[in-house]
Amino acid sequence: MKGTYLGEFEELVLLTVAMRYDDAYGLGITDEIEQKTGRKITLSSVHKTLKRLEEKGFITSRMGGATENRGGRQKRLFTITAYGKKALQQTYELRSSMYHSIPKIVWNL
Amino acid sequence: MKEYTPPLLAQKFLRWYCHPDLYQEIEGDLYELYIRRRKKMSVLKANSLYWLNVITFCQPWAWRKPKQFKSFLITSDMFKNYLVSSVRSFLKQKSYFIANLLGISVAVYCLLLTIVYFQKETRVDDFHTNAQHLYRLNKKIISAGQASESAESSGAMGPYLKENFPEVQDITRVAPWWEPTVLSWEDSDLKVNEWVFVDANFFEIFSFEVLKGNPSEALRAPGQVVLTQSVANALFGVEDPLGKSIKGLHEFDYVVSAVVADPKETHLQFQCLVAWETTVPNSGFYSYNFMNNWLGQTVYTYVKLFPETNPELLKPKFTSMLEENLPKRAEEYFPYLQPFSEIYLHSSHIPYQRGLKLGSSLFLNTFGLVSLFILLIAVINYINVNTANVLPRAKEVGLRKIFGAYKKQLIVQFIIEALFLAALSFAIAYLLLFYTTPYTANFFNAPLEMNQFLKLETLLIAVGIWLMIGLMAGLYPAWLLARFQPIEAIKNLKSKGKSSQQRNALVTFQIFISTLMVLGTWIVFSQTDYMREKQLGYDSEQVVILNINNGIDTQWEGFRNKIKAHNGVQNVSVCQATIGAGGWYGTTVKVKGIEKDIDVRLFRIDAQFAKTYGLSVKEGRFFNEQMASDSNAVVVNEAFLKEVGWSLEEIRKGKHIGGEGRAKANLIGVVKDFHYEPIHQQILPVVMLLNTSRRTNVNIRVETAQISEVLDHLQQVWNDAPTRYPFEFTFANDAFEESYGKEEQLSDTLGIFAFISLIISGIGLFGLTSFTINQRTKEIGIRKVLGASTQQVILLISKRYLILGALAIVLALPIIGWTAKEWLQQFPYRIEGYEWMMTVTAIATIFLILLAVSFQSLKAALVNPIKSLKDE
Repeated sequence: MKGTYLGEFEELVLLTVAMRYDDAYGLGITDEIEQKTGRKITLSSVHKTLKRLEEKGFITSRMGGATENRGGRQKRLFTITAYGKKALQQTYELRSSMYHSIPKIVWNL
Repeated sequence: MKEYTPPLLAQKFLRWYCHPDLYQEIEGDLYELYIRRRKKMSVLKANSLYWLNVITFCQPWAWRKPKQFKSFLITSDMFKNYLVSSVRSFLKQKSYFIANLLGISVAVYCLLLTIVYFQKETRVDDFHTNAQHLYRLNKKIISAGQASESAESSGAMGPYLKENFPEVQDITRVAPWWEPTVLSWEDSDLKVNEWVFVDANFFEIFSFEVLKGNPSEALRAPGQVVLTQSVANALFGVEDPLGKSIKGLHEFDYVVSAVVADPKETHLQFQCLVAWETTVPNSGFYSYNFMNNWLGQTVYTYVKLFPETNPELLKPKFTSMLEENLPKRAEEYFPYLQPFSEIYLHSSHIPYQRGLKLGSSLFLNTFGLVSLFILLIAVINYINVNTANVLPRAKEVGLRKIFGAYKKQLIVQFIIEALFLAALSFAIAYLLLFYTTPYTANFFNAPLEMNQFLKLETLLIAVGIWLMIGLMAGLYPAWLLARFQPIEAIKNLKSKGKSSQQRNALVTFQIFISTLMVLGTWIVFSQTDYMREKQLGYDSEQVVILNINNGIDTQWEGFRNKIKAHNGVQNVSVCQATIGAGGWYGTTVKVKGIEKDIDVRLFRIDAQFAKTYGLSVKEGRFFNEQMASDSNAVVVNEAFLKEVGWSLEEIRKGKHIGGEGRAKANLIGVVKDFHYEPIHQQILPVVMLLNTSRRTNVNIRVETAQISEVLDHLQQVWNDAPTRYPFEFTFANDAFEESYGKEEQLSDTLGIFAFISLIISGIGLFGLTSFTINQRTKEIGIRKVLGASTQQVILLISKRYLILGALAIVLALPIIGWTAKEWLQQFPYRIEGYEWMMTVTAIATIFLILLAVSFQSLKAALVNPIKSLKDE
C-alpha cells in the first residue's frame, strides 16, 4: 500500500475524475462533488488536490479547447492514469474487505 | 450572450501571483463560475465572490516561483545580479566609492536640513485664520532725498481707517513697550521683556489660543492684562491668575483678565498683552498722546480688508488721509499695506521693528541654494568617476549586450546602481541627523527636531530627492555605457572624446561653484568682522549702563554718590541718554537759513557724558555745569554739520539752532561722529543738550582691571536702593553684538558649507585625475621612453585642469562681484575694495587644483616606464 495513500478528499476527486471521463476539469469536478455529497467545497481546494494528484502520477492532463463561456481560456482536462486506477482499486478492495470483515453482531447492536 | 467582466484588479492580482502554468485553467474556471453567478445574483455579490476566490487561490502551491516574478523591465534575478555587480564595482574602487558615498551623504544631510528649515520658516504665521485678509500698515519715508522704510504708523491712523475706509473691515493696533518691566504679585517678581499694548479686538483678528478667561472681554478696560501661560505659571504657580491684581509697568496695578498660550510660530511676540485703553488720555492711567495722535510713529497697525479688496487701490487714499490729518508729513510718508503672511520672511528691508520676531528670506534662500550646490558637486563627482572609469565597466556592458541585454535594461542597471548608492547616503544622512539635531540651534534660531525629519511629508520629499539623485547620477553614465558597441567595449577600444568633454564641463562647473561659495563666504565674513571691529567713535570698552527708570531715578543723587565711592569707578554720568542702550529720541530742529526742519537724534545728557564715553570734541568745547549759559547750549556731531552745510570756521564765529518761534540755543561744540546705533544704521545728525530733569540711566566708566569688583559694588548699591527691579546692567560694547546675529548666522553657515563643498570637489578632482592617469600610464611610459622630462609629464596632465580652473574663475568672478555689491548695498558702512580677495581666491583655487592634480601626476611621472609598458 505504500506510496499510494489517498486522503479522503483526494479519493473523492480522483473518483470524480474517473467518473467524468474526458470532461474532468476543475469547476466541473467541483460541481460534481458538491452535487453528490451535498458538501460546500472551494474551487481552490479542488485545484490544489488535482495538482497534487497529478504530481503523484494518479492523473494526467492536457489542455482542452477554449470556449466562449470561459472567456477564451482553455480548460485543463484530467484523465485517470493506470496507476490512478490501481490506487482506486486498491482503496476499494481494502475498504470492501474490511467492510466484509465486520462481525454481523455489530450491525445488530 | 451578455458580456460579463470580472473585477479587473482581481484579475490583475491573480495574473501577478499565479504560476503561468496554472493561470489559464484557474482563470477559466473562475470566469465560468463568475458568469454563472452573475446570472443568479447581484454584480456586487458576484464580484466579491470572485475576489474571494482569487484570494483563496493565493496559496503557495499556486504561486509563481520567485524567479518568475516580473517587475518593471527587470526580473528579480536580474535585479539581484545588478546589485551584485554594483557591489563588486564599488568594492573594486573602495576609496572612490567611500568618497562618493560620503560626499552624497553630506549633501543629502544638508539638503534635508534645508527642507525641514524651509518648512518651518515658511509656515510661521500660517495658523492665523484671518491671515489671507490681513495686512500691516507700513510706510515708505522719503526725506531729504533719502528713502527708507518703516513698519510703524500713528496710533490715530487705525481708528481713522476703520471709520472712513469702506474697504477696511477691522483694524488692530500692537505696540510693544520699549523697555523690560517687572511684574510683581505678593512675593514673586518676574522680569518680562515683551510688554505689549494691544487693541480690544486682538483675539478676534489673531488666532492665539486663549486658555483661561473670556477673550472678547479681556482687553477692554484700562489696566487689564493678559499673561502668557509661562508668565502666569512663573508668577502664580498653581494659583488661578484670573482676577488677580499685579504690579507692572510704571508701578501701576493691573488685573489679570485672561491667560493665553505662549506665542510660538508667529512674528508677534509677547509675554503680557495690555489693554490699549490704558494708554488713552483721559481714559487709562497713562496719557500717552504719542501712541494715540497722528504725529507719533510708534505703533504697528494691522488692517483686515474685506475679501477681494486690492490693497494697492488704497495708496492714493492714504495720501489724502495724511494731507487731511498730518499735513506736515504728507510729502514724506507713503503708507502701503504689506500682506500679513510676508511679514515674517520678507521684512528685512525695514530696518527697525521693535519687539517682533523676524526671519530672513535671504538666509533661507542662500541656505537652500548652497545645499543644492553641494548636492550638485557631489553628484558630479559620482558622474565623473563613473564616466572616467568607463572601460572596466564597458567590458561588463559589452558582455551583457552580447548575451542579449536591452539598452533599456542597461540604463536601468546603472540607475539602480546610483539609487543603491543614494539609498546608502540617505541612511548615513539620517544617522548623522540623529546625532546632530540637538546642535542645529547654532545655525537656526531654534533647534530642529528629529521628528520633523520623520514626518510623512518630509519622508515623501526625501523619497523624491532619492529618485532625483538616482536619475541625475545614473542617467548620464548609463546612457554613455549603454550606447557602447559591444565589439568596441570588448576590444578595449577607447571611445572617449565626447564623454571627456562633458566631464570637463562638469569639472568647470564644480570649480565655479566652489569659487563662488568660498568668495561669498569670505565677503560676508569680512563685512561681519568689519562691523564688529569698526571704531565706534567712542571708547565703549569699560562703560557699564544701569537703567534706573524704576524708582531709583527719584533718588539718583545718593545712588550716584554711593557708586562713585568705589575707586574703580572713573566717571559717572546720570542722564537720559546712553550709547548702546537707547535713551535718545528722534525729533526735528529748525536752523536759520534752512527752510526744512532737520531730523536729528536728541541726546539729553549731563556734563559728564563725553568723558564717560570718551567722545572726542572736534571743535569748541563740551558742556560745563558751572556755566549757567550752557543750559541753553547745544553740542552737535559732524553729521549735523554736513547736513546743514556749516564749516568749522563758521562755527568758530558762532552759530545757533532754533529761533524763529522756537527755543534758541547756541552751538558750543562739535563732537566726532560716533555710532549710537548698530553699524547697519547710518549716523544721523545728533543734537546734545544739557538736561538734568530726566535722569533715567547711569553710565559708569570703570577701570578695566577692577571690573568685577565694581560690578559687585554696583550690585550692593542696587540692592539697597528702593526698587523691585532686579539688578541688571549692560556693557556699552556688548549692546550692538546681537544685532550682528543675522550676518553672523549667514557667515557661519556659508563658512561651513563652503568648506564642505571645497572638500567634496577636491576629493572629486583628486579621484578624477587618478583615473585619467591610470588610463594614460602607457602613454606616459612611452613619452618618457622617448625622452619627456618629469616636468613635461606633470604639465601634460595638469594643463587641462588648470585651464578648466581658470575658466571657472573667469566665470565666477563677475557673478560674485555683482552679488557682493548688491548685498553690501544695505550697509551704510561697508568693506571697500574686495577685489584683492578675488585675486587671492583665484590664486588659491589654482593652487588647490595644482595640489590635487600634481600629487597624482607626479606619481605617474616618476614611475619607471618599464613597469607601465611591460605587460600588454
